[in-house]
Amino acid sequence: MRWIRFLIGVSALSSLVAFFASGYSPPGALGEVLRHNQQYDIDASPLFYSEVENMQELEEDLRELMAEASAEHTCMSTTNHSTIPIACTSRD
Amino acid sequence: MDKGISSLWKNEDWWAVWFGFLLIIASLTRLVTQVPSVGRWTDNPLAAFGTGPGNGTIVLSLVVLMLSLGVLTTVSVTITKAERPGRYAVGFAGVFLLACLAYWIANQTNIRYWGLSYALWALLVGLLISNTIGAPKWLLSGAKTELFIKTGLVLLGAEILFKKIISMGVPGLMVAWIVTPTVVIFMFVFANRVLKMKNKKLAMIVACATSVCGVSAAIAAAAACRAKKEDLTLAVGMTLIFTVLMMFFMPLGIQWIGMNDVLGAAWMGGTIDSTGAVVAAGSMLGPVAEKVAAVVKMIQNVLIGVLAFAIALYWVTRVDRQPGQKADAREIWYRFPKFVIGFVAASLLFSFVVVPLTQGDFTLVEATYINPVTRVLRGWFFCLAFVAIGLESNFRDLAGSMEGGKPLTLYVVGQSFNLVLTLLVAWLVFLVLFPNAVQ
Repeated sequence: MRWIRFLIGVSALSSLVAFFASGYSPPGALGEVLRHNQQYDIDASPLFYSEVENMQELEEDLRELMAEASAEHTCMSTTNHSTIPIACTSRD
Repeated sequence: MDKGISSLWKNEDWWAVWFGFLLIIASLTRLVTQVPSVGRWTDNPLAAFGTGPGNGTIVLSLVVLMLSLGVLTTVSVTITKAERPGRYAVGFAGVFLLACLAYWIANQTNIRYWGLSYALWALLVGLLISNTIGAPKWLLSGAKTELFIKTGLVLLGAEILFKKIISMGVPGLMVAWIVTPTVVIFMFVFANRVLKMKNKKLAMIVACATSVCGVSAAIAAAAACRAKKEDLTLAVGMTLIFTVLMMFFMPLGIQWIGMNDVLGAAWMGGTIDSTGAVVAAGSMLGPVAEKVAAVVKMIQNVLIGVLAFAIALYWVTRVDRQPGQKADAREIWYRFPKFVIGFVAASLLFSFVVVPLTQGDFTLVEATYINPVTRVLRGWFFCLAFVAIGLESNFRDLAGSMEGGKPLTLYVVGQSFNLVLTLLVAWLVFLVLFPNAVQ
């Protein structure tokens, strides 16, 4: 009996693995994220930030974006006060 | 409990510290430069074992890893008299093989897209055996859950680099570090005062898993308050299921209501439990949102060390204290889980010694010491721990821990509170206080 239960369990686990590994995605909006992950090869399984393969890249890109936003904001404020607009045009 | 100097070699907590630091030193001195792991595969299952260095297969490397970790942990098991060395070694080999199986399933490309990590498969593989044929004694001899978890946590400390918290300046800190402790406290108080949960440890694990970073936080909290395996299994099971659901529905909801991308990304970064799911959900909103969501989550991840220390201290001084008992410094020290000290020390070592020694080059530290060595080893220890937990758990005990569904209610109420509070703070930070922080 125990071995029958084990075989049923193994079959259930194998079916579960086969289902998720098949590449199936639910139709409509429900499967949208999954299809996006498949299209752009996004690994959604990491538990901790250090497990995300391109974390360093994401971090550096964001830092650059924030620096750009900060520079742009400073530039816009300066332009509004009609002081040194040259810095703004040269950056663009 | 050994209170003298002998606790340094008789206490499992200290052994976790010694092992963790031995492996960290091996990485820092470049004695170990790479640790093998089961590879990624799509159609050919054997590809998972054929991508290693050298001969083209990693099977031999995995055998060496199994022997190395087996010998290392056998030392502790023998000295602490937890098990006979021979029995433990055979059992460890069995647990290691099951961990390989769990990794092999988890590393299938399509399964990774679903966000189903090795923790889930390791638990399921263990539970399948224990709840059908029953885990044989020889296998259980190698299932040293606490030792694996504690050693894994000390290694995790190396990945927690404190300077990461300033990656996004004040906006990131406000979203990640104001909401998180508030939600932990709210959920713990709610569990005790409103739900009147008997199991305070389970309440704390669920609170940490919900508000910090899912499985990793659940492991840290469970170890810090010395919870039962069933409590960790329940919390991890809930967090894994809800993470997938939130990854599926949050970006759709955000797009549907037309919410600002940066606000939506910060919201998801602060609420979805695991980092992989956060990156996937953030990516749905666009490249900028992906970065914001990932970095907010990363800043939140760093909180895990502070939280583990605070929980350990709170448990020793408040929860475990007998009525009328004085909690003097010596008593606190005796009862304090020592591996937490190792966990924090590893984080401080990497944050304030290793990174500054490389002129603050995070990339170099991560690429040389953390990613190829300590991170992979930590993954192995956690995977071994989850297999061991599965082998030692049965559904009857798990059902008994449910207290009529109270942990589930706690998760749902806590996550709802988390969603509202994070949205409020993210709105305040990114649309009111720092509207030009990211463009």
